Amino acid sequence: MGRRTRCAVAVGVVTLLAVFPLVGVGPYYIRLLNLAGIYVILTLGLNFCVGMAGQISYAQASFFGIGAYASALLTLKTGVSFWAALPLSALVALVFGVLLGLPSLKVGRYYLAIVTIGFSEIVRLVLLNWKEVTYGAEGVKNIPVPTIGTFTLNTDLRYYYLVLTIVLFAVFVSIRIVHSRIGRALHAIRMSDLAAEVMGVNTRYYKILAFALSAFFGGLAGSLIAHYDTYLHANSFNFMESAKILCMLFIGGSGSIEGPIIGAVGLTLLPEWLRFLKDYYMAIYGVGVVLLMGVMPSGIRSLIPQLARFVQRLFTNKQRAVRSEH
Amino acid sequence: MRTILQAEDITVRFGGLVALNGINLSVQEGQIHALIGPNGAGKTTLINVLSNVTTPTTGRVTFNGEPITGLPAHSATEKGIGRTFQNILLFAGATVLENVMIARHCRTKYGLLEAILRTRNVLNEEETVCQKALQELEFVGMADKASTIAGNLDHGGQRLLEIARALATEPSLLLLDEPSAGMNPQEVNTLMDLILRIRGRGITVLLIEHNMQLVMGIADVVTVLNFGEKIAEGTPKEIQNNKDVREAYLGRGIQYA
Repeated sequence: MGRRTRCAVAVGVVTLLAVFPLVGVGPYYIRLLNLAGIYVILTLGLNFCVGMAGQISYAQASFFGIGAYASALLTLKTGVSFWAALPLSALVALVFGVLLGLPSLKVGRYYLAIVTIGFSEIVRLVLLNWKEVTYGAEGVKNIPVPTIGTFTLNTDLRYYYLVLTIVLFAVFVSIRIVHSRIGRALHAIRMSDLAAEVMGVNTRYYKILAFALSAFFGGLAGSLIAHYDTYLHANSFNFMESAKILCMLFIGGSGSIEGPIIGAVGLTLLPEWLRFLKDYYMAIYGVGVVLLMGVMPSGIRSLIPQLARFVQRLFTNKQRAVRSEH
Repeated sequence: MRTILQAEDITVRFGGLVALNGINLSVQEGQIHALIGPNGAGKTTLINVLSNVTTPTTGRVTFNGEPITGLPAHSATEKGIGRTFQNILLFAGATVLENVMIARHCRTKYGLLEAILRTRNVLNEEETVCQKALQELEFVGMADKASTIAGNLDHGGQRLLEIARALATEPSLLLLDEPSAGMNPQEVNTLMDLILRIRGRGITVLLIEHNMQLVMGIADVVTVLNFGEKIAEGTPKEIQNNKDVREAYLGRGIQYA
């Protein structure tokens, strides 16, 4: 694809996403889309660590939580606006990301997974028990809704455009990083630590950078959820949440940009579409995830080339049909 | 002639095993220097020390007059020591071109913010990365395979790609760990020619080899290791006639009274 076509496609997709919720989609669906967007940011973040650098992390929900709490507490206790709290909370998460990245220099892959599980439990317990700062088990209430002047982002639709903006930012940053020397260095580390190092990649720096980027995106998502739900509880940022984000990454296809997006949107909407199954819906959902991983080990994304060929054939056939009519 | 690499009194112990024992080695600029010896002699360990993959228990290495012992391996690459691996260590899932592009990492400078903003500088550097990578593929005769997945190359191709990748880091000293292993005679001839052309570019080559035709054919100096010690050093002719070397390879002759 040339530069022109890529630009045209990007503009088309953005316009579609901007107009989509205006045409007869109810608030329930817009809320789902907002959640999907937040998960897209989380999954794209985790993609730096797991998909690109190959460092297994079960801590993405912790960065989500750290960002959410940082943003909520900053606005409630110091009175700064959401617009300052959003980047600040991402930076707070980033600092913790660097801290979690340090053991990755010493510990091998499977053991690193255990370290990240430990980290996420510690984060949850601190958030749950540090009453003086985090309000403990009561959770954080009355988190202010973002405003622009006198305009309040107090409906799902209004919040949708905020989420969409941050999602586009996350996608943009991800694309730029993947196609740079930084992306190549991260991929090299996943494929072979030693070979990457000998090719001149400072593997220590880049492993920590991968964790930092993951955490930064996690923090952005956290800030968004805090001011959307206006209520936080430490138990929402548990191990299962991290596992869900990992699922989204692998089901969509890790290491790419489109994979995490497909995975995050798919796994947010799918359970909702299965609700008619009542009591069994989570069981069916689980079986579906297992089957999907079995049939497409490199994720749903592996369907895209086939789909593209199919569409191309469809178009060329149509052109031929039009030509033969003349 | 100038000494490009000087290793002094290198000892490496793995627990109770002495892999290298007080090795001294100096490599002269512009030469092809071969390192030979029976299996387990410590040749790969020595290459690992020289490329800073292994830190020696004692001893020091100076490269271009600068001490490099204890530095991380990536800074050795940055300073101009490139290497390949005995048990081929490619980025198997990436394409041939991508493999070589990754190796340009230490010759590019732009950081995270620049990458996100994609400044003019980034575009320029990326263009150079691509050009240089293609040049190196051309140099080893693999330009037509640029978009092949590295893991799908035949064995000889993978060895050549490793060399192209190491060359892309712009080394002044290239360490080759058994480059001809698993190659057929025809491929070995191509390889010999390639190594001579690498020297022709002004790159010093230190190589581990078991193929004596290759060593005797192109090496300027040969160093022989056995049980972690240096037992001989000299021109290929001298080494061929060295009694200790023959004993190390073939065992002691029976003395008839």
